[in-house]
Amino acid sequence: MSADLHQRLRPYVQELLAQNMDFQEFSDADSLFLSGRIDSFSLMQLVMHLEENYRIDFSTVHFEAPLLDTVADIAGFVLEHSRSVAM
Amino acid sequence: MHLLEQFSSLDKNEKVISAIQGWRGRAALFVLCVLLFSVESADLFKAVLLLGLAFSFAYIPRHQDLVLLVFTQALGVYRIVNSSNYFNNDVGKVMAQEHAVGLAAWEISLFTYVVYILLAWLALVYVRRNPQSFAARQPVWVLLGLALALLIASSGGLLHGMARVLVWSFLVTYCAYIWFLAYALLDQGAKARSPDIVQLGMLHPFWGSTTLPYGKGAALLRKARANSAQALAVTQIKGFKLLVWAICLYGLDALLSYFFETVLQVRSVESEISTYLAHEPSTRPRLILSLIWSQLDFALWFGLWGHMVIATARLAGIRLPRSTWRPLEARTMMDYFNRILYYFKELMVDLFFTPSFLRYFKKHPRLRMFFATFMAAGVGNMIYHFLRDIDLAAEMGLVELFSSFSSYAFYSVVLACAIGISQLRISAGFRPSDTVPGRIKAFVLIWGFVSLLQIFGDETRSHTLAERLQFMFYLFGIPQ
Repeated sequence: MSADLHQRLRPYVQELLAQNMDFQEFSDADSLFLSGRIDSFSLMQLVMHLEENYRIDFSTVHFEAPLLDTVADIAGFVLEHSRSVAM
Repeated sequence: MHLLEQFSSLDKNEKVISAIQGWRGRAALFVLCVLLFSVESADLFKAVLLLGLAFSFAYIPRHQDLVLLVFTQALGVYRIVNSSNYFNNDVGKVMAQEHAVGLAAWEISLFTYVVYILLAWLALVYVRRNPQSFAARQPVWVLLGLALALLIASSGGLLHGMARVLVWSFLVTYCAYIWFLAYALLDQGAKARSPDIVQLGMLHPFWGSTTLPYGKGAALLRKARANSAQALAVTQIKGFKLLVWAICLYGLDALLSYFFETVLQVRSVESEISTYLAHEPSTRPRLILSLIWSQLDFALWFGLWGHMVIATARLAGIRLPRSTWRPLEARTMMDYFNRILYYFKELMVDLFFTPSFLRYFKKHPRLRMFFATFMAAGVGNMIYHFLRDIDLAAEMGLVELFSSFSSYAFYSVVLACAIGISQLRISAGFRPSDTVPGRIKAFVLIWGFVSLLQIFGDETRSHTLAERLQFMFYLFGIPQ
C-alpha cells in the first residue's frame, strides 16, 4: 500500500518541481525541501494538496518542513495522519 | 575553462575526497581556508580562531553536542570580554546617559548575557513541560511581547540609573538572540527534538551569524550533520569552494565599488535624497545609477557574508544550504526572496508564514496564501528589522524610534504585496517563461522593482517617508 501511495504522490511532487523549473529525476528518498529543490511556497501547496486529498488536519500536527522532505517522508506522514487514505 | 570545470567538480573528485580524509589533506585544507578567510576579514587571528573551532568540531564526532555548546558559548563570552561585541557599545551609550560608573560596559554585558542564557534554558524547560501553555503554542508572539515590554521599561522613562542600564543591556542581548530562541522553542514540540545542550549551542552558533540564524535551529542541524568520513570530506570541500566564491565576490564588490563610486562618482541613495531635498537634485540617469548600485552592493554583500558563514559551517561538517544562490536568475518575486536571502526567508516562513497558513482562512485558498505571505514578507520583515536596530532607542527615544521606522514599514508592505501578488499568479497557473526574452523580462522587472524599493528600504532612518515619496515622484517626473 505504501508503494502505491508513493506512486500516487509522485506526479504531484513532479508538478511542484516543474514549477521551480526543476525537471530532474528524483527518487523516493531524495531530499526535496532541505536540498532546496522545493521552496516553502511549494511546500505549502503540498500541504494544501494533502489537506484536500488525504483529509489531513495540519492544525493538530506539530508541523516542520523536514517531515515532508522526501516522497517517502510524505507517504509516511500521510499514512500516519490521514483520515481517508486506504491502509 | 577546463580548470574551472575541474574546480567546480572538486567535491566529486575521488582523489581529492580521499586526500581530505588524511591528516596532510586536512592540514592543507585548513591553511588554504585560513588564508582565504583572512583576505576578507583582514584578521589572521580571527580566521585561525573561527576555522580552528570549525575543524575541531568536525574532527570530534563523539561529543559534538557538548563541543557545539562549549564552542558557541565560549566564543560568545570571548567577544564580550574582548569588547568586540556590539552589546558593549550599546550598553556604553546608556551607561553614559545614566552616568553609571563603577563597572565596565563589558562586565554588564557579560552579566546580562549569562542571565539570558540561563533564562533561555529555563524557557525551554518550561515550554517542554507545559506543551498546552500559551508560551508553547505561540512562542514567537510571547517573545515579541516580552521584547516590547523590555523596550518600554528601558526607554519609556520608567527606569533610571543602573536599573535602566541592566534592563537595557538585557534588551539588546535579548533582541540579538530572539530568533535563535524562537527556533529552539519551536523545536520543543518536535518528536525528535534535540537536547538542551544543542539548543543552547545553536544560540548564535560558533560558525557565525548576525541577528539572523544562518543554519536555522536544531531541527535543521539534525538533518545537516555529515554522518560519515566521506560525507564530511565532501561537505568540507563544498565549504572550501564556497569560500573561494566568497572571495571572488569580495574582489568583484571592490572592483564595482571603484567603478561606480570613484569612476562614475555615483553616490548613495541617502545622499541623493539629501541633495534632492536641498534643491540640488542630480540628473535622473545618475539617480537610476545610484539605485542600481545600491541594490547591487546590497546583493553582493549579502552573498559574500552569507557565503563566509555557510562555508565555515560546512568546514565544520554541517551540510547547510547556501544563503544566496544565483539571485540574478530569479523568475518571480518569491524566487528572488528565496535566492538572495534564503535564511531570512526561511525565518519569515517558519515563524510567520507557516503558522498563519496552517491556522487562518483554510476555506479560502487565495486569501490564505496572500495573508500568510503578507504576515511573512510584511509583518515579519518589519518586526525583524525593528528589533535588529533596537539599539537606536538609546539615542532616539521611543516616539522617534517608531516614527522613523515608517519608511521601512512602507517598504515591507509594498514588498509583501508584490510577493503576495506574485504568489497568487503562480497559484492561478502562471509559469514564468523559460525563453531568453522571458528570462530577460523577469530579470528586468524583478531587479528593477527591488532597485526602486531601495528608496524606502534604506535603514539609516535619515529621511521621512514623505521625503522619500517626493524623491520617487521626482525620479518619475511626476509633478507634486
